[in-house]
Amino acid sequence: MARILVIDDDSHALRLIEFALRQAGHEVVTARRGEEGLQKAFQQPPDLAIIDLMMPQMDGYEVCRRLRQNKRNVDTPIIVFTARMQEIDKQTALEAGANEFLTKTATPDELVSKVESLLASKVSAPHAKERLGRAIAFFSLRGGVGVSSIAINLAVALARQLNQKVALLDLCFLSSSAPVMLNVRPRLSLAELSREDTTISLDLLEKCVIDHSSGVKVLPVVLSPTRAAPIPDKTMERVLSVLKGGFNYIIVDTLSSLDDMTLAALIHSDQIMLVLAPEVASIQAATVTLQAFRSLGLSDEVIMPILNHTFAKGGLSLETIQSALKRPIKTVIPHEPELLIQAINSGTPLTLSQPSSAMATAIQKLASLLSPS
Amino acid sequence: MDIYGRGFVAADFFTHTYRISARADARKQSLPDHLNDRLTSYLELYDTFVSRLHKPSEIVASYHLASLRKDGITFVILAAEKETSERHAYGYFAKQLYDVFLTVPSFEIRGKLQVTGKLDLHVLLVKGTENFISISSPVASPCLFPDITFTGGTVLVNKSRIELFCTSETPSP
Repeated sequence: MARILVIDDDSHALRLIEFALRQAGHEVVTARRGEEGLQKAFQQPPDLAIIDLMMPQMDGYEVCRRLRQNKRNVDTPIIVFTARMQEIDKQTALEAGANEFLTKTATPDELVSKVESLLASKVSAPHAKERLGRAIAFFSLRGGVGVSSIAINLAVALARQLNQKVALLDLCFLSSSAPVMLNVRPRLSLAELSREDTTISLDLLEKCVIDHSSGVKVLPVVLSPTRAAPIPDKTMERVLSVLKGGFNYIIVDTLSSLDDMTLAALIHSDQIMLVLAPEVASIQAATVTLQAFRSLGLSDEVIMPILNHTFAKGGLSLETIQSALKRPIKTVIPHEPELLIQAINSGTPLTLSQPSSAMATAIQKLASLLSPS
Repeated sequence: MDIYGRGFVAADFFTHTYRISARADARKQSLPDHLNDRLTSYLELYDTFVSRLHKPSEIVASYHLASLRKDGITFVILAAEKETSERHAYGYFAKQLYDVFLTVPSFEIRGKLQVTGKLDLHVLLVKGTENFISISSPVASPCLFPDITFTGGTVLVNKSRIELFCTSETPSP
């Protein structure tokens, strides 16, 4: 049973919400004005607050902002429940500190379900993200440049070498790289869990997580290419948000395309590793990608290019590549063909099987660079 | 007064400068029918929340009672498609949907126009007696802030405010 504060000036709505929540076994505290609701929240912080937007004197946006400014309510999950249903209303409510936005066209059952899922996932305030994990996405528009190899080895290095809680979110369902490279056999995937983003919680995600001996938790998107059905972008946003609550690092191995799911993963990641090989097509793909990221409003600061020497000789020089991209490249992964192939074939990542190899050393260095400690 | 019973409709009313979220007294009719009723010039609004167009989520004023001139309304966004006029509920001719794009002061609106029989723009815009025409699946954007969109089940557009009305030649599939 949770203690839920409902703030709504509409007495009909208030009675209906109170009834539905009491039926679901919760204790309900009500307020018909924003100020009254804040007072009650400040006196005894609720487990969750449901706030209407359109209220006289102090509107719901302001109530959310003031709740978030209060130390005791900084983590209180907030559902904004309103008759205003435009995207701009949702966006403003989320910016004001709400965790969820629900319109009053929703049934009482839907509201109760949202309350339960929010209580279950124990989502904190959006601004508390800084205290949670970091999502690092690995991407290349051109395939075959070693995105999965670097992502997986980095995940292992972070978990093993730096003792971090690491989740590896495998979006590469067409190649199933992670299960092969880590020699794990997934039984359940994200696609089979739930299509409803609001019901996704850490407990639910744990059901399809596979434990790797390095400590990395692998979370596959789908089990096989034949069953490939990308999860919706809203769900991806939710998955990353939930994972950030339970892990220090979420390494996202993405597809070589800018589809909705990949875009959602990239946009909601804290850092994007743009992997490229020293050849013209790869550099061109990286340039196009950087332009696309800029048009999406992604800051240059979150994008880190990584040069992966996928072949031994004849590649473009680092200077040429930096000049083409108009930005420095701080991480260079050396060419290590034999050991890498052995590692893939044996299902043991290079950072575990050959930790002193040049490639593993470069990845360990990258792990140290990413870890603040 | 019970403002939650029949005839009270929650909607977003747009003038060319304001967004007004309120519950309208449609006098026990559907809102389109009440808007098209030429015997009344004003619409009674309850629980009215006013926002300026450039910041449409920020509430700048709220009053329990308000009165809105019908001819001052540019368009109204309703949540559900079923809230359209009851007069168009039944008919002998097949209904067809046409993609439409129209401009009204400060806004551009895209959506689907439901037409019974053949589409005749002259009948729709000039000869028709209704002041407000109904467009389903609407997306309205302030032309100065095209990133902001307003959507809903139906938009009721004040015909006298329409500047440009564009439609597809054939019905959409």
